[in-house]
Amino acid sequence: MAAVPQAVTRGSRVAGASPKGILRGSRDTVILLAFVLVPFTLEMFWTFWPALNSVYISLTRWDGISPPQFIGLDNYARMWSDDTFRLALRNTVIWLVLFGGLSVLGGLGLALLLDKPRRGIGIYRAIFFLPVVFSLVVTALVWRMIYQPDGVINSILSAVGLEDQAKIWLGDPDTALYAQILPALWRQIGYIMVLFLAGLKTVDPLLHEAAKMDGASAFERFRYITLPQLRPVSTVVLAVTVIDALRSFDIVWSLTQGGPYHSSELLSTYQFATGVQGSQLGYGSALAVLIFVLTVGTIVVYLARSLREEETA
Amino acid sequence: MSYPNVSRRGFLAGFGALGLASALSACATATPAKPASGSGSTSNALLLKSRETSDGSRKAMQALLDTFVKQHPQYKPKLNTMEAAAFQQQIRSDLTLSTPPDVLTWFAGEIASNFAKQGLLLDASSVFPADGYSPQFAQLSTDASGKKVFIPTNYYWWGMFYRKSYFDKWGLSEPKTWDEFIALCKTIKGKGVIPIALPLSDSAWLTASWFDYLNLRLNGATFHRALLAGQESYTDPRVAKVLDSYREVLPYFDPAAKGLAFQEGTAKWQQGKEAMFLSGPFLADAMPADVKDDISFFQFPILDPAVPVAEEAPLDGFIASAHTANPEGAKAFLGYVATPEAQELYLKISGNTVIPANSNAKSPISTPLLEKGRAMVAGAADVTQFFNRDTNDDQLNVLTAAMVKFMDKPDEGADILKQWQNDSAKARGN
Repeated sequence: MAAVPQAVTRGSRVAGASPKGILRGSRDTVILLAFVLVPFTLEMFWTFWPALNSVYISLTRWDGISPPQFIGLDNYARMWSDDTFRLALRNTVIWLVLFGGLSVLGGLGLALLLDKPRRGIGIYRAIFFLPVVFSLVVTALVWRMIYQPDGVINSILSAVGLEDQAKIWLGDPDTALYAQILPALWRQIGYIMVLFLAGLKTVDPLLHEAAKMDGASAFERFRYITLPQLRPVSTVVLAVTVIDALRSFDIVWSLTQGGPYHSSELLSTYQFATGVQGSQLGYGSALAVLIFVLTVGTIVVYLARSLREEETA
Repeated sequence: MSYPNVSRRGFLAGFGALGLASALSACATATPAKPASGSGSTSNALLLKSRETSDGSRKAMQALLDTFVKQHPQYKPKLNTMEAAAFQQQIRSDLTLSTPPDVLTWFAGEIASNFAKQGLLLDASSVFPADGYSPQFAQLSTDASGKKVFIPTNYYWWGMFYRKSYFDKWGLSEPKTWDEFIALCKTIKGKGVIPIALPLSDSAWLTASWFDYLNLRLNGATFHRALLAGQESYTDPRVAKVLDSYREVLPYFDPAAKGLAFQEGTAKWQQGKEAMFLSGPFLADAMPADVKDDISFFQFPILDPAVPVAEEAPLDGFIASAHTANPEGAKAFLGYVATPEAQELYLKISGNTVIPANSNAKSPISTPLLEKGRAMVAGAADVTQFFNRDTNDDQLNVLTAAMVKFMDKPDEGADILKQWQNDSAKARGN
């Protein structure tokens, strides 16, 4: 639409139409430019600029006071000889698989259960969604009480005669990590459920009916109708899950701060302890860059794959 | 409509290149080279940045400024209070700003020495009182070149806190030596009470107090400082001795220690479910008045009588930025807060359970507990600050992991020390 009058104006220089048009055009240009430039400048200043800086800082040794010393990739090399880093990486992978996997499965399951209109369905949905509205620090407070040495879990265990199974859940290096995945899941499942519920609304009920007529079983209908139609929402869910898993921090920091002795350390808590709380800004930034690369990498790989599938399909 | 010839993509690319170029010039890490003597221009404004956020402390800080300005009407002081954790993170950039806060609250120790080494602190030698500060406190205020860069205003102490009424009920008395202490723990445990509180779930740093004291009592303050400074190794047999003594006391810690938060631990101690707590007087800060009157402490027991007794006395006070636009005003203020009057005024209004650093100052709210603490520190041959004040938080994290792991695996001492040394050196950048 815009191309036609532009060509006319340029080519023929029709008198009369031009002065006002050019005037308005340049004003539009200014406004449009402003729409692009102002947010971009802000974004540049608040997001890209610090991000680029942290890439640079990750190549230095810097304590925040003395001038930074450029050391190339030494900080990245240090990771491979750092036991705590390897532990944090392992824990992050466990976290990603368990927290990510279970929250997607749980969220999808709940969404399927709560999709059909039934009496009181809203109440059930609300109950599962409720944990999402709590701040994670509040969630952590509640679960700290549950996990206390004489808290709910241990009381129940001794009430049913399983005293020997009672543990200091958050203080035992064998259980600390898993004990924290649980409250994180408790919250995340409700969130994923809502995303899938929205996705299920887009599934055409006629397809289901037709398939039923053709004698498809409930599983077949789920596998060949519901799942493929959920693909767009699945992409969102995956991105959200990966990002949430890799940035998981609040719950661990408020419950154990990565302890006891790093047994529940995640990359995010380790990054915070070294780069923010501690004074190893270079190493801390290198960890932050790595977390960023992992997050973006996982998502890009998935997106590339699903795009290719869409093209071939 | 005519659009400018620059395509959107080209535009974005241009902007990106601009950003990248400036990122590579590393603006965020640049510390502007400034003469340490401050900028040429002078100002009357005096900004005090404080990390004392409690209501009493804030009022007391303001009262200090109000009284100061009465004596020096030419200055315009202003108080800026910031939450302690954020304050601590920002102080590094604050001190390197070209227009920094003029005066800041801080504490004695390794970080202040580091600031001084970088030339970030104002020389306050001319206002440091010749009389009133103990040699240890004066030493802690001095940088490597002999300049006074820190003005101490108050300190507290660490000790084994207990409740008098419970000790009376159980028929116990204060132990002096390690053997008496272990025997006491045994007696308490025999009565069905947990001998020692050590809530670790949110305050694993408390293990540093055990390490500090055991190391000070066994190996002395000189070795302790050298170890913390990285001149000695954690694999040294002398550190192994520290873990041996720590192992002796492990059975007397609360078995639920790792699952308890600091507040839960103090509550248990207050209720008499745990008998002793190696802590500072801040332990009782939130407790009711009748409990506060019931609290006492004893000195950390002596392990080796041949080692000169050192105590932990974390020292708080003020520093001034070397880049201040008002060096005269900053010095005048530092001189004022060094006086006994200023320190008494601050403690009177804040109501904090700490002792004035100037020995000519009296505690305005004097209690037997406070006097006992003052006498203990005054009688010490040497004074340390606390592990993370004598080093930094990176080293504290390494210590915490080692000390808590040793509680679970007391047989793996050698491996734990090797890891400790390794992580400590890495965190130091060696």
